[in-house]
Amino acid sequence: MRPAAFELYHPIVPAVLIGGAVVLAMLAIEPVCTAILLVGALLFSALTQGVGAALSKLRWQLPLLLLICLINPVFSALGSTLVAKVGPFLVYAESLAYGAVMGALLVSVLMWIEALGLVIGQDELLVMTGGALPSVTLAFSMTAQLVPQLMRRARMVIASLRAVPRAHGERAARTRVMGALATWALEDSLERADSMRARGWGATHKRSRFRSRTFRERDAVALVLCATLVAAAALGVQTALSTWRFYPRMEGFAPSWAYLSLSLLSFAPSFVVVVEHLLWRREP
Amino acid sequence: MSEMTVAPAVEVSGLTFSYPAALAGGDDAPVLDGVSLQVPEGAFALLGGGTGSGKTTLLRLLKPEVSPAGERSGSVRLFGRDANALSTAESASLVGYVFQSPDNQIVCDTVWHELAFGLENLGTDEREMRLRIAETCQFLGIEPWFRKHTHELSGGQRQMLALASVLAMRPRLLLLDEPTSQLDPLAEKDFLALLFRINRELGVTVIVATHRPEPMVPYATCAFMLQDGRVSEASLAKVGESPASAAAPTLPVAPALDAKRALSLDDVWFRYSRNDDWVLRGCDLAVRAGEVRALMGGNGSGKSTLLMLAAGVDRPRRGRVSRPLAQAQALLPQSPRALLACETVEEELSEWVPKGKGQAPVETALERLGLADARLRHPYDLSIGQQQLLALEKLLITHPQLLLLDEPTKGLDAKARASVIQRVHEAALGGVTVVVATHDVGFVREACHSVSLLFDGQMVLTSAVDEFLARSWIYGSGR
Repeated sequence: MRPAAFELYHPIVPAVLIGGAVVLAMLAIEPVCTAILLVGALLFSALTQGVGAALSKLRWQLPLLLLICLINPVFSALGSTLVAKVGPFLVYAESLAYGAVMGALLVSVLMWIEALGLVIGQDELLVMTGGALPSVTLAFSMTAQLVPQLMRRARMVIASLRAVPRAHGERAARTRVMGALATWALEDSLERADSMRARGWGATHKRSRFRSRTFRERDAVALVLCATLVAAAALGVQTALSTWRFYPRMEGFAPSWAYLSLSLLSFAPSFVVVVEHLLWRREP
Repeated sequence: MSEMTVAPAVEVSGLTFSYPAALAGGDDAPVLDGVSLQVPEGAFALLGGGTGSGKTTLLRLLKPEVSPAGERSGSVRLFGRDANALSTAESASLVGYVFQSPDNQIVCDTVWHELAFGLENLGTDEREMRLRIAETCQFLGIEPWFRKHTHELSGGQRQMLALASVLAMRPRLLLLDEPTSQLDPLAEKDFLALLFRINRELGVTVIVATHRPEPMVPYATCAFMLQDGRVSEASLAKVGESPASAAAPTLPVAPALDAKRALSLDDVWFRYSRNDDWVLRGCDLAVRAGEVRALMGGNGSGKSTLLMLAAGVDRPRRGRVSRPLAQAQALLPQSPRALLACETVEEELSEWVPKGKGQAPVETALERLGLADARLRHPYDLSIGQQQLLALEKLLITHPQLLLLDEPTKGLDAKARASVIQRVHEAALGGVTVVVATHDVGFVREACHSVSLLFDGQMVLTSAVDEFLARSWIYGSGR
């Protein structure tokens, strides 16, 4: 479910807010920063898609995190606290921790990108880019509607092959499906091209666009606020990265304001959702 | 000035057209031969004629952007202006064209973007665009799904969207090529009712090409028939008559009540995924060997799903499906194209010939289809009716004992439909069990022993066809 609160603003506002979180999540290779961003992403996911859905994602996220954590010592035998010696590999605590942070970073980046996709749908993307590249956005829009059609047809072709015993066990079945779908789609594209021409495709060089959202003052205020949040968080991350070291010994936590500024950004999307929820509960 | 005669919306005079000989397969007879007709502004005109009579060709020649290439002479004037002298932009905003397939003419992935597509192409000012789209949506009542994705819409809704996206450009003339042939009867009525309002309330001239004009006659003001490349004005009363049914049906007597079961479903529950609703909710079905059973029910009542389960393509989440004829079954999907994958008609028929039978069944099938001379043509170059019959023939060559058909008469003209009925009769005579999902009451009357009515995922009623029609309130009274 897309959180309705974000629809109140021009899509550029949530794009800056959550896009900023995505970029910082990619850069922040530091245990506290990564943890803050991971928790923020998990919370947002749980609030928007339900706790169950968020937990079910952990089913593949945790093993991924663990895997990266365990693989890292194989590649970098750095550090000062020897934990174990496995065959020729020396496993240091620092190296394990680095791997764990990397794994957490990857998971949090993926989750923030998912959050971005949730808030900025196809429509919002069009609103933001449509003016600059109408043909490209049209191509995207066309693809987005053709993929489900192709999948539906693939299911129909496969079903009709499975339903005929005589067609079973034919080696070329898979290429047959692809071939059938391709011919079908090509044939359709002729009619689609006609339908485009009939509606004046190519009539002018300058296509206009139907923009369903105007950029208002309120959006500008929100945009400045979001940009400030992102900038402050970026400064915090930069400070944290400059003081922190993994090797040879993990040390150098940043001053607390750095973590605070990042937390503000990381929890802002969840905050918006919660506030909206509370406002609704007050409605008679 | 007021004495000036009003130019008709469409004035065709002496229009002759033939496709390049190579495309027509060497046949250089003109598709249209000196066609002349006039459609006054504000008319609702029907353009009738069988498959291949040139309806589509004529309709496309009225709209230069989609006109076929070929040899042509004569003139086409729209509202007093030469059609070929119109610019693309003028033509787009003067003449709207709606195509047959609900799937193929949608371009964008959201309803609002599809509605805006034509206006964007013309570079229409944003405020003007919003006004037109708002009014179009209001007029057609499509506000509830304005923000939906186009792939989420039903076939009827997609066709309505195609109409709306043309209408947003405020055309004075609407051309529609078999616009309802892919829709179920209910969606067809909704679509025609809208078309009627557009014609009467907005004064838009409408021309509909169709091989089945009966449902449109109440709305029409004039009708033309195309035959052998010539056009003639026909009376609406005559066009509205249901076509006389072909030779008396020769359906064999229904098998005895205690005949062996050829297919049975027992308390079957099914849904496509965990988050979906149940499609079938405790559905029972028992079909006797040699029986021709029709499955009726509204859109989304689960008819196609039931066929998939009967074919063993999907498995029930609960309940039992017993399929004693699983090794000798065949399924004709809703679109025959799902079965057609070869380069020529002949290869298509040869693909599933039982081993050791040689070429003989293929020759018989070609003969029966009347395609012996067209054996090297690509299946996609055949008419929709011929594609459907080809797909059916391809299945029958495998000698199925259980034939599952999903809307086999949808979109077919009278001739192809009669052929499908004929083939079902022959199959039944040969002892084949047939289960048909269909909306076509005429087909049920002529080709089936019994009917099962599906509603809300359950069987409401199963009875013999005569009894069903006698009891039914909506199907019994006519058609």
